[in-house]
Order: sequence, then C-alpha cells, then structure tokens
Amino acid sequence: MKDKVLETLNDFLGRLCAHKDFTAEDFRLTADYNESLALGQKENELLGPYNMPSISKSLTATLYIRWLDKKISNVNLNYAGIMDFEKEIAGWREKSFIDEWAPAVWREETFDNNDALKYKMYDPEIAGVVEGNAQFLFDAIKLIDSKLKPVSKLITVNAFASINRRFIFLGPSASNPVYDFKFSSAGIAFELDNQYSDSFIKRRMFTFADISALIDKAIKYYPAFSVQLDKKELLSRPAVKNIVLTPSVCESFVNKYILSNLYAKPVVEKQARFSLSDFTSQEKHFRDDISIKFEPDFDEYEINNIPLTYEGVQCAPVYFVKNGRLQTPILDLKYSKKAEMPPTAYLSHDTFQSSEYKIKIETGEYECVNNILEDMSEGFIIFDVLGMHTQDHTGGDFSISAPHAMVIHEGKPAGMVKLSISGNFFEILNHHNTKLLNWYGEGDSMALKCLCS
Amino acid sequence: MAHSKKAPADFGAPVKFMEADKDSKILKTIYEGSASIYKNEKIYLISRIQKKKALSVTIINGELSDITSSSRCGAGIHAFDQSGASAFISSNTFPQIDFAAMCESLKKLIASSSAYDIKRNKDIFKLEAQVNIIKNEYPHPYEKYDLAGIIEKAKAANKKTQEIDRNRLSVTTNCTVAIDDFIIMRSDGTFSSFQIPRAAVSSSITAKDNGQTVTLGSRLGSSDLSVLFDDAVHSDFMSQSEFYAREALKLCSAPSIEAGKYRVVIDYALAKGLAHEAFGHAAEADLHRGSILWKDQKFIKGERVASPEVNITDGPIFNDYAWQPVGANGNLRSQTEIVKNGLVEKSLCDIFSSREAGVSNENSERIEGFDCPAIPRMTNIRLEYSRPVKTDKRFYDLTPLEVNKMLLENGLIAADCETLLLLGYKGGQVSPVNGDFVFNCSMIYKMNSELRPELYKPAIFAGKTLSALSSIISAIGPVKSDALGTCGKNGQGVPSSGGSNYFLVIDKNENITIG
Repeated sequence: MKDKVLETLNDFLGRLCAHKDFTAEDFRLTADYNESLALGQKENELLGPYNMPSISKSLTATLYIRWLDKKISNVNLNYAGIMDFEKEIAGWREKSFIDEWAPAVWREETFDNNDALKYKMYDPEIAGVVEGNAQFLFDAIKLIDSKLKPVSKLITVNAFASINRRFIFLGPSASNPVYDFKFSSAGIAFELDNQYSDSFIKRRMFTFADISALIDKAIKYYPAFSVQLDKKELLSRPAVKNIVLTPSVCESFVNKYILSNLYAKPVVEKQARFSLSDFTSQEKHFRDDISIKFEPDFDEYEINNIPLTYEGVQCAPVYFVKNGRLQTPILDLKYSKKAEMPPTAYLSHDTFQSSEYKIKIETGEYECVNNILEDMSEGFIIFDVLGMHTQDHTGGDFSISAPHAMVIHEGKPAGMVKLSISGNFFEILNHHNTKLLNWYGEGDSMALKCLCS
Repeated sequence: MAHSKKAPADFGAPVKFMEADKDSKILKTIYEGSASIYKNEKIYLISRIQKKKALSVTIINGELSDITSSSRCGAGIHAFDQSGASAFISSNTFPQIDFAAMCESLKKLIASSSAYDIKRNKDIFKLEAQVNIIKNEYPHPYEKYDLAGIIEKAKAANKKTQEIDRNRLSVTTNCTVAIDDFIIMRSDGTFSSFQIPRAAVSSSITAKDNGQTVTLGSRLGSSDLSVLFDDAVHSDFMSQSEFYAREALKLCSAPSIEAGKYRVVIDYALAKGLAHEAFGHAAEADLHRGSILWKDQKFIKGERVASPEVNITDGPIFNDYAWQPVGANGNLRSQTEIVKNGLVEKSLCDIFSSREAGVSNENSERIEGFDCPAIPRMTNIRLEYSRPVKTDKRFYDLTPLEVNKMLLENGLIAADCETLLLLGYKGGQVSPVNGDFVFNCSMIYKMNSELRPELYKPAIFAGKTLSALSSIISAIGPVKSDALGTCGKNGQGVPSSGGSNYFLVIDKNENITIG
C-alpha cells in the first residue's frame, strides 16, 4: 500500500535532519497513511446528499522532538506540514518548552518489526473494498434493510472500510522506519426507528454470518419495543430493582467509571478516583473476583490488535486490576516517568485509529444471560442510556435516563418502559449480588440492582 | 465586514485569481475546472478547502504541562450528476492534489451506485450563486499576543483557582486556539472565503474531601483572544472557576436530591442545552422526519409550542466562539427564527432538505472539516423570554441566595411543590423522535422562603422537550449567549454556542423529572 508515502516520509526526514535549524537531540515521528470508504442508508433511503459514497485519503503524523537545549516540542502534522516543514520549523522551536517530566524517545529492546507483523490486524479484503469495490457494502446494507423491514418503519444503516499503514521513525539516524505495519477495520451499524441500534466492527471484513447474528437479535428483541407498558403499574415510587445491562450499556459504564479513572494523568495529578499510592500499594478497590485487563485478541481481528502505542511502546497484555487490587494505571511515557512505573499499552484513539478498543473485566463467576433472565421474576433489561457522558466519573455516582428498558416479568419480556436509574457504580459493581454475564456470546453484560424511578 | 454579492455568471467564473501565492494555481484549477466539468459533463461540484492551525496549552496545578501545535489542510469535493446522485472525495494533500483524478474517482463512485435504488436530490442546481469574501477586525486578534502572554494568563487563572484550597483541589486549565480558513467553490461560480478563529479556556476542577471526589468544569470562549485579554470576559471565566471550585468542595459532603417533580430554575447554560439538544436538533431539517416537529408528513409550522413570550433563534453571532457566517455550501447563513412568539416558525435547513420539509432554505449547513459531508446544524442558538424579571447585576454576581431572593420577591417560588435552582451545564442528550431529553447540571440548590438555599449533588434533569418549552413561565435577567460546547452530530465535532436569559423558570410538569 502506497510505497510512495514511505518515500515521501524518508525524503522529509532526510531534509529535516539536514536543516540548519533542526537542532534535535532525539525525535520520534509516528505517521499514519489512511484510505477509507463509507456509505449508508438514512431512514430507508440509500445514499442521498448526506450519505453519499465517500472516499478519503490522508497522511497525518505526530512529531515529538527533544531539542539540544532540553526543550521539547509536540507537533501534529499533516501532508502540507510535512512537505512545507521549512516554513513550520521556526514555529515548532518557538512553541518548545521545558518539561522536567519529558520522556526520552522510547526504543523497545526486544520487540522488532517482525514481532509487530505477527498481529492479526490487516485484512486484504478490506483493501479491495477501499479501492472502490463496494458491492459487498451495498449488499450488506440491503440485507439488513430487507430482513428488518418487517419489524421497523425507519431503517438507517452505515458501513465503512478503512486501511491504515503506520510508520514509526525513531531518532536522527533513522533512515527507515523502525516499525512499518498495516492494519485495517471495517464495520456496519444500524438503527431501527431511531430507537434500537447495533453494530459490528473488527479489523477484518464482516461477513453475512456476522450481520445475521445482529439481525436475529434485533428480530428477537425489537418487536417488544412497540409494546409500551404503563410505568405507574410497576413503579409507583423509586425502588431498588434488578436490571441487566446489555453489552453496549455495560461498556459505556465501564468506559466512563473504570477506564476514565485508570489513566495515569488524572491519577498522578489527583484528578481521578484512585491515587498513585493506591496503585503502588496495590490497594483493594474491587471485589476479590474482579480483574480488569487489556489484551490483544490475536485470533479474532479485534480492534485491540495493535502491536505498539503511538509512542512506540509494545501493547503487551496488562492487568490494571487483579483480584480486586489496583496494579498499574494506564501509563504513557511521560506519566510512566512521573509515576516511576513502566509504561503500559496506552489506550487512545491515536494508538488504535479507532475508539472501539476495550478493557475486559475478568471474573470467576460468568453466567449465561438466559439463566439470569429466567431466574429474574421481575426486572428490566436496559438497551440504551442517555446522558452517560455528563456524569462525574470521579465520584462514581450516576443518575441517567434509560429510554428503552424492557420489562421482564416471570422471566419473559413484557414490554417497554422509560426509566431513570441512579446509584454509585463502584458500590454496585462491588456488591455480591452484581453478576458479570455473557450476552449471547458477544460480550460482557452485567446484572445488578439499582434505584429505578 | 462582509463582502457579498451574487455571482453574475451562469456556471461561469466571475472570480479572477491573482498569481500571488502557490495556492492560487490549484484554486484556479478547481474553480475553472468545476465550471468546465459542469459545462461539458453536467457534473456539479462543491469544493471545500480548509487550512487550520491550532495550539493547545495545558497547565496543571500551576505548572506548564503541555504545548501542542497542530496543522490541518485539505480539500473535499462533493459531486452531483444530473439525476441527483452524488459522491464525495477528500484528500489532505492539498495543495498537491490531482483535481482531474479526484473528479474521475467521483464519476466512478456515482456510476457504481447507479445500479441501486438510491436517494437522489437535484436541488443543488437551484442554489443561488454568491461571492462572499469575509474579513473581520477583532478587538483582541491573535497577532497582537505572543505565546508567553497566553501561557502567563492561563497559568495565572489556574493558580488563582487552585489557591482557593491547594490541599483539596487539583486544577487543569486548558487554553485552545484555532484558526480555520475555508474556501468554498461551486460549479455555478460561487466563491466564498472566510476565517473562523476561536479560543476557549477551560478548567477541570477536582475536589477531594471527606472520602469523596467531585469534578466540575468551567469554560468560556470567544472568536479572538477576548476570553484571555478582555477584562470583562476574562473576569466572567474567573468568577465561574472560583465559584465552581468553592462549590465542588461543598459538594463532597452534599446530600442527594430526592427524585421527583419540581419547579426548576435553570441557568442560561442549561437553557442553551435545552434549546440546542432538546429543540435545535429536532429543528434541523435532515432530522425532521419522524421528529417531534413533523406531523402528517410535514413540518409543524405555526403550531404553538410555548407561551407567546418565548422565542428561539439560531444564527451566527460575531466574535462568539461558534461564529460561522457562511454555510458549508458557500452561501451566507441566515438568522433563523425557529420559534417566534411561542409558535414554530422556521427550520434549520440547507438546500437539500428545505424542499422536502416545505420551508425556505436558510443555508444552515456546517462541517467539521474538509473531509466531512455538510449537514444542517446550529451555530449560536438563543432561547429568549421577552418579559423577564429585570436585573442590572452581572450574571456571576447573582449568588444562589440572590436568585432565591428574586424568586421570592417575584412570586416565583412554587406553592404546591419544591423549587430547585440548577446551575452549570455538564452536557446532555436527546432523542429527536420522541423529544426525550436528559441534561446534567453541576449542582442543585433547594430554594425556600427562609432564604437559605440548600446545596445538593447534581442529578439528571430529564423530560419531554415540548413539555419543558410549554412550562416556561418566567425568566430573570437579560440574554447571555456565551455558553459554549462542541456539538457531535453525525460524529462531526463543531463548536456550538448560545444561551438564554440569566435564568429560566420552568414550572412543575408531569413529564419533567429531576433525579
């Protein structure tokens, strides 16, 4: 894919290193060349002026410079900045600053490009789609539209395919990238009557079988969305009730309340729930049977499958919490230095070129969702929530709206209500009644008790 | 300030390019090529060129933590054939782009979709051609200040906030500056050039006390550097930060409010959230169908949604953080009266949605960047109550106690339920289909006749849009419209702003809940 990009970058670095004003002690350049294709259907209408087929090509880069006078620069570049850097270099220097915690440029000692290439992260089939062979995306959209038309009035579907080549250059003597690898992603997402949504995204092309699983689930649950129950019959006043969070809702809770409190920057700067000393002394903040980890999944082409962070640190599997005890925050190089702990896989959009990366909760008790539903004489399944992004993750309190909550009565779906749910996520997660579940083999979900009104 | 005229040529080229810089050659190629491809092949093009420079400065607890500079430059082209089929291509290699090759790719994309039963829209051919060259003068332009001055000011703001209680507060202050230059050209000879600079300062304030952690955020913005160097504007930011820092400490031990129905008094930032999230998005014409503003296959123009004192308007405000004078298709943007005297009047639409919605085109489309398709969306939305309780005080001089007094003096404390004052917008979400909205505030005070406001933890403010609008019974103070945010519609983040009277009073309603 586009060796011309590599030539462009090599040429840029050659000219940069020879430039009289580039008085760098060391530097790192992480560059991404991306090509993508997207198209969609909005409310039953395929394509149109807001969902036309779109092709995008871009070259972007981040440049981290340690100058000879120990100042540093962080620069986000695009193609024009790379080609025309002579105009920019004075600005980089002007914006350089002294940072006592500025890290050295990282060089992995044992993990080389051959190791990086072992990750399952690139599907050549996606490259074919990006080049313009979009027939499969059209067929996939049509399949969803035709299968779900009987249960939905307005169907919106979006599909995309994307390929990326990443180059990481380290240091003034680097005439070629130390790392040079390709990764891809493809996904499809649909929404029924602006009420029910589901999606599939991986680093491989999705298949009709993948889509059929989403369709089957929608056919199972969505018809019940049109059966509205009178909420007053169920909740005359706020009460603690059983609820089950579907995987997307569970993930939004985990990302908001756990992930946000694990990043080293807020931890070290005293802006997270946990303090640095909580990690260094491995304080117990979770139930004994709960561990929280990041790991690539080599066989399933998950979005997590990226070998290195954008800073060139290996994305090795890591436990942030083990058996209820804090282990390490999520450390980039700067905060690794500040926290005096080794850097970890750094979970950010810059690393994955996607926001779909995940941490996983590992637990001893992992029940099948069907068993829980059958045992639940009365409760709710929460399909989506509104307002999660407005919550304060540091305290753990939540007060959010669940516009589509399915009533479970005697183990069976009985219709939909709108709920407000509230509580403290950490207290609920650590409660012995809270169970981690497997939702139809596709991801973590959670059964818990919280205040419903 | 703005130079605008109709382009005289019919699919011609009224703009002459001076060979002054290296971009003029490619701009001329695109401009003339767009006219030519329409003339010869009936392919209509909208081209958007963006050049963006940005700077971000971060201060943590008095120390400079980071400076990041960014640049972004690229071209996006939206093409239509005569049947109304369209395709889009973008590249960030501008000015080194192969315009002819991009046009070929667009034609292939359009051709590949023609085998399907696709949505077609030919309304672009009816859009009036314009030439708009917009240049502005600002009181505090970026050229006037150096980086050291910006860092010094941000550092001082950070320190002053943290020094309220150095042991229990941790404060991150971020100052971002962005200068976005756009050129939009169309096959009909339209040429629009404008710059939308913006600056924002924000502080994330974390208080730890009593085993509890609370985080609140203050923020303010402007087009130029007024937010840092205009005494009155900067003082607003500092008043907001200091108030939030003090209240964050108190919130660590504040109780939770009991969930229920209340009369609520919301500040102008929450009211902006109500106008933007709960009503503005439903008024965007691409979301009309199936929304609360769509009945019997048409937009509900003329329907009463609020008392005659309520008006909702959207449109660019000069030197505001979200100011954008020209729509993303190249024509001047209107001030749109969405609700006038309580009646639904207009929708926020572009050329592609106005005909289907049965309303006039307001050129209300925006983009995040050159690589995004244009969609209808707000810039600066204001919800105004025309007969408010008057005050000469600054918004930040009105403490919860002062508000309590004004409510009591004007008979606005409810007799049949508790009255709550909600301060500080922390974001929200809405379903345009049924009008369900949720907002979160930073803190809640229970108002009372003893004039002793009681502080409570924040709780969700949820309800039905139309119920909330129809329950507005009064307001306090003049309109303040600098509540900024980032709107994330369709995954595109664009600056948004707006406001309302200092405070809006919303009566108890069965469809509005706190907690």
